[in-house]
Amino acid sequence: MLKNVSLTVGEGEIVALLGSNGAGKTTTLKSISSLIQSEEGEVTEGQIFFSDAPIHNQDPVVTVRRGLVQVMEGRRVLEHMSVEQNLIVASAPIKASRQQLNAALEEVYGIFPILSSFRHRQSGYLSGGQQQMLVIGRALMAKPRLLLLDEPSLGLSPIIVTAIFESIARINRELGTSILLVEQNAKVALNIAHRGYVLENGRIVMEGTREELLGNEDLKEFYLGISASGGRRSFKDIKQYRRRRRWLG
Amino acid sequence: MLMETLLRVLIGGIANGAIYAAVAVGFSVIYRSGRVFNIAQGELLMIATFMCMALFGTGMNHWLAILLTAIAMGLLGLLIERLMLRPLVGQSEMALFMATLGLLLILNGLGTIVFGTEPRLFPDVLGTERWRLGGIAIKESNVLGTALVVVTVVALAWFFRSTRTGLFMTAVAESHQIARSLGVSVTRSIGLSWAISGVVATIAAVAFMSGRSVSPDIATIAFVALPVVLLSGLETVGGVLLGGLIVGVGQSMAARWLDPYTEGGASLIFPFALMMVILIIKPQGLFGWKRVERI
Repeated sequence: MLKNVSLTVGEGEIVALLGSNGAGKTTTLKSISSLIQSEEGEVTEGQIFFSDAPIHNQDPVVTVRRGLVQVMEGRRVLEHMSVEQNLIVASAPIKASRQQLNAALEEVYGIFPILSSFRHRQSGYLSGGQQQMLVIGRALMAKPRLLLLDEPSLGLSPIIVTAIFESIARINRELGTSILLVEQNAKVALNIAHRGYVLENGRIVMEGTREELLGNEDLKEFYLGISASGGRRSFKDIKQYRRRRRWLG
Repeated sequence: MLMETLLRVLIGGIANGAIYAAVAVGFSVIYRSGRVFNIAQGELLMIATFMCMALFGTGMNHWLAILLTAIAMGLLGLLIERLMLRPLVGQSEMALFMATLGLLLILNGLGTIVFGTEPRLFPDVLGTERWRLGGIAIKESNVLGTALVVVTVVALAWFFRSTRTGLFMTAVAESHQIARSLGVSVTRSIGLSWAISGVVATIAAVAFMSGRSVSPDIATIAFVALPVVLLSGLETVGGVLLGGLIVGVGQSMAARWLDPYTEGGASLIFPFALMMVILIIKPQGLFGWKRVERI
């Protein structure tokens, strides 16, 4: 359940939405994309606009057609289909000709070359990193103007995470796609984001530009694991009352 | 002598296997899209058969009558989906299954009321020639019927693997949620699968009923197609051909060599015994989707 969540993503921006487990990050994304309907959820109060048109509680298929695509958490590939079949399916919202389809495929393969070499492999047997690249590339097939990414770093090794976040920044830079990025890993997210919000218990408790957030002491301590003195500190050194503190202010 | 018997058993088995495959592919097309096990597939076959015969009765060209039946059956499929299954979206698979069981009972009863229980002769639309192969006679209608089923199943398998619409429907088969998140309309895919299933029932009727005497209880053939679809796997389309072949030939062998000792029981039991063995050894069937487990 979310309350008083107000956020905007500007044209061409990368915005990070940070927060711990159960803060409501995924719920926020699913409300925007209307995929929350799959869980019998709905937006009961408040409004969500995309390019000045209200989009809350509409058919998620219509939302995708308008250019707003969510990449769900947990690398949801169509596991019995090949890499290329996954990509072709995702071209559903654009009525593409054969040539446009091939151009779109080449664009995705340009961003994630590894997908090109595995294009006929069954996607269920790709590695975790490759699957994450596939689901992000798949979302690009619909030519989105706004991409919602839910925890792209989940369960991946640091090297892969770096590579994927570089690709996300590149998508934003080269294709001009706006991105709303949900992450627990605040460090990698703020590395590429222009602005960010912190969500806790279904409310936004902090917002600011990348620099403001990186400079914030509380955020440093709770999300980046860096103490005031600048060095890394183990959680066992943090006093209990500090650790349990919530952002209610 | 033995060769001749073997050949005869084989040919009879293939012809039977083809009809099982034709009904089984109707099951799998619907199951893939909506996770609905349409137990009333045999009733669709029965309705297609009698609709065809009714149109033949008006004296119109046979092929035109078949075409009209195919269109009407496609619409009937759409109608069933729209009126019965769409309101149940989001319900458990068991509820959907019970709904199709209800459909089976309704259509079965209607079939008896409308068409009567008296067996009638389905015209020989596929020819009446008897060809000779290695000393035994083969009915032209059986050969053409089997070929028709094979062509249909292969065409469907190609459709689901290589066309965009087919791929959208396969994506729906994988996961409704993922399909929806990619902008694929789940309801349209399910509707289309029911329409396809209706058309396939018409093709099965033409392929199998030609020159036979038929009554509404031909619908029970669907129960033998059940082991075929479980043997080949619920999600496969092309795989039903092999499944049909195994069950058809196995059944006709059981009929030739075991039935004399079991008073006709062996050939009845065979498909279901095979089904149980398959479910124990390979629960997803020969070509069904095995959920990929990652560790």
